[in-house]
Amino acid sequence: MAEPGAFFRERRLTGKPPMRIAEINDIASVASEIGAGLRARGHDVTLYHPRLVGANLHPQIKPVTAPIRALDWLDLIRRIRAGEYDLVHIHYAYLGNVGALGGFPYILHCHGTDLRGGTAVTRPLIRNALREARHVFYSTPDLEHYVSAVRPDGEFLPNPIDNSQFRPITEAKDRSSVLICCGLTEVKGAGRLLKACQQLAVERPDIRITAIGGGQYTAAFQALPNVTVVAHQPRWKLPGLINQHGIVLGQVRLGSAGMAELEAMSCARPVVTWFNELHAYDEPPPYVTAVDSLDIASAITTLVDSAEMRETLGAKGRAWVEQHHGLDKVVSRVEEVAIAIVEGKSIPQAPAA
Amino acid sequence: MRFVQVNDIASVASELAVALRKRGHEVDLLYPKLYGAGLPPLWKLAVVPLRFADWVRVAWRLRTGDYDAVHIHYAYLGIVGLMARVPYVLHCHGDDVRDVSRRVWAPVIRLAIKRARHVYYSTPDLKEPLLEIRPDAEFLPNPIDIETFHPEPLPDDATDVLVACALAENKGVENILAACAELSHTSPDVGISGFAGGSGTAEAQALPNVLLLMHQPRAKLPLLMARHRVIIGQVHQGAVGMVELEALACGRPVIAYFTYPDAYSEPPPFCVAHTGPQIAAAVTRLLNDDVERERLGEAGRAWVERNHNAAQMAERVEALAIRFSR
Repeated sequence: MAEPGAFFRERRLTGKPPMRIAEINDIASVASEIGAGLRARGHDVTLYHPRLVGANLHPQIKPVTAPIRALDWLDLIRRIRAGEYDLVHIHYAYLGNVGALGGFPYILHCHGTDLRGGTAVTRPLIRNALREARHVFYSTPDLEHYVSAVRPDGEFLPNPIDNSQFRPITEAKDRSSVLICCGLTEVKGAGRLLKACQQLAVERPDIRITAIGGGQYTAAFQALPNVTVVAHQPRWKLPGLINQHGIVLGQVRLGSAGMAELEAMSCARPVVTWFNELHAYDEPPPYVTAVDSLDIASAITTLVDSAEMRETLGAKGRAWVEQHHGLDKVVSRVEEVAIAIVEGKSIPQAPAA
Repeated sequence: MRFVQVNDIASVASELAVALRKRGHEVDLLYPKLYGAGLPPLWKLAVVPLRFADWVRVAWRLRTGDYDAVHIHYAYLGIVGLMARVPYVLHCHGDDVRDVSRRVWAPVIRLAIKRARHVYYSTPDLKEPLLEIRPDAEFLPNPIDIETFHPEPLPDDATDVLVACALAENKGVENILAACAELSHTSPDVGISGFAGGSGTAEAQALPNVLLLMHQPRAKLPLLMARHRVIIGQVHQGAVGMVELEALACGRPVIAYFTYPDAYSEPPPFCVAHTGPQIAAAVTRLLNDDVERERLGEAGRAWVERNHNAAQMAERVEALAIRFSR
């Protein structure tokens, strides 16, 4: 690997803009969004997809895949070295060990289950990855307490939303059907969503709900008369799917929303979710907050019956996402941190989310 | 009478069971374990021991069940009737008898067909291959539950098109996807739903105008059909299956390739199309013509009531069973 910062120094000498950055692991498309934003600013960005062998195995069983993963990590380190990058941006906490083992400067970006789902085997790895990182970002506010124990300087970096891709094509006031945008899994609160749908099936059978299949609750949703379960959708089709619906229902267990909920808001749809991190932003997001099945069903019914409310909340949501999760703002911050690391300066103060 | 229906192909056995029960009969439904059903034909030989063990189980049930009438679905499964040494009616459904001579199980299939007390076939294209083996084989139109599958008003947020058949080669997926691709250019606002699972799934997923649904439980099909303006069925064999008939029963116009109008006393009111451009043109024409859609929907419903009513089919099955029991 070239001496860290070599390309950047060359950039300064010649007055040319590029930094060479490796984005590792495209969790929830955050790496590809940031990569696209950095490229738009003239940087040279390569996206690497580690082979996540056994990713769907139970956390206690996953260690058996360690030898295969270790080989993949070594290959990744070799490729990163050969790429002569100025900086590596690694997504998902334990993968930070690729940076630590490779001995190159890296930003570690934590996303959720990587910290929440730590096991006795992975926790030491995660701590090491956090400690060795030049800077740490986390993508949802609820991760603060996991990060701050090791890295008090860890920074909440809102997920970047491409509002030109996720934009309103139809108006929320013209559609009254509901899209469940999160995975049908326990961690997203699918059990509560299921109960809400069961209640709606009885009380408001006219309300049509679409869910995206794949989680352990898929069969239970499939059995409901008011729910249509669609197959897993490629990302480029999500704006179209969101725009076919008037209301979006997101995760209701962690108290924190992810990319899917933000992308739905960016499409000017009212989003029902449980959001309990109001301190994270200088202006709270205009989610319709609901946590149990009764609240959820009630919120859905209210929104179905009020086209005006769907329109108003949808417009507020899009404006809020533009202000707080705009791709440009997020990419600016990553670039600012990257420049500081490459130049060997201290990380500038994080702006308010 | 005590009936037993063996193997529920395309829900025909369960529909007949329901209709026979309504006529006061006792009906058991036996499900053979179809080990390795998704394997290529030659690989299926590897699961013969497992299947054979299950055939012994089913044959034992047939032998000891004290049934008045044994009705077995799918040609090769007639082997359980032979093993049980009971008289049986064999009901052929499609791939079980098409190109029979090329099948690994050809001798078993021929024997099962020859030894059956009577042979039904469910789609008219099977007449030719079957008559070579059983000249007395009889066309029994698939039984449609016209109470469950009934017309519902089109909702305000209805989707334009539902591809109701599997996205599989033997349904003409190539032509269907060609139509979808053409519509994505000529009428990008036309939304199309289809079911994930067949060989054309990835290609369908790549089209911007197609939304793939997961496999739906049968109970949800009437409502799903009711939420679409136009249904596309299979466009390969020239004959249609249950899903196209159920769509007609739901009062929706059905685009399909049907080449056996003489199989009925009156031809079915399908909107006949075969190639991609023909299908796309039919979709466009029907979506732009509310009156024609309604006319075809009403005609289709009435035709199914006259020609595929489950109650009438059960009556025919019952009459045959009574005749054989004398």
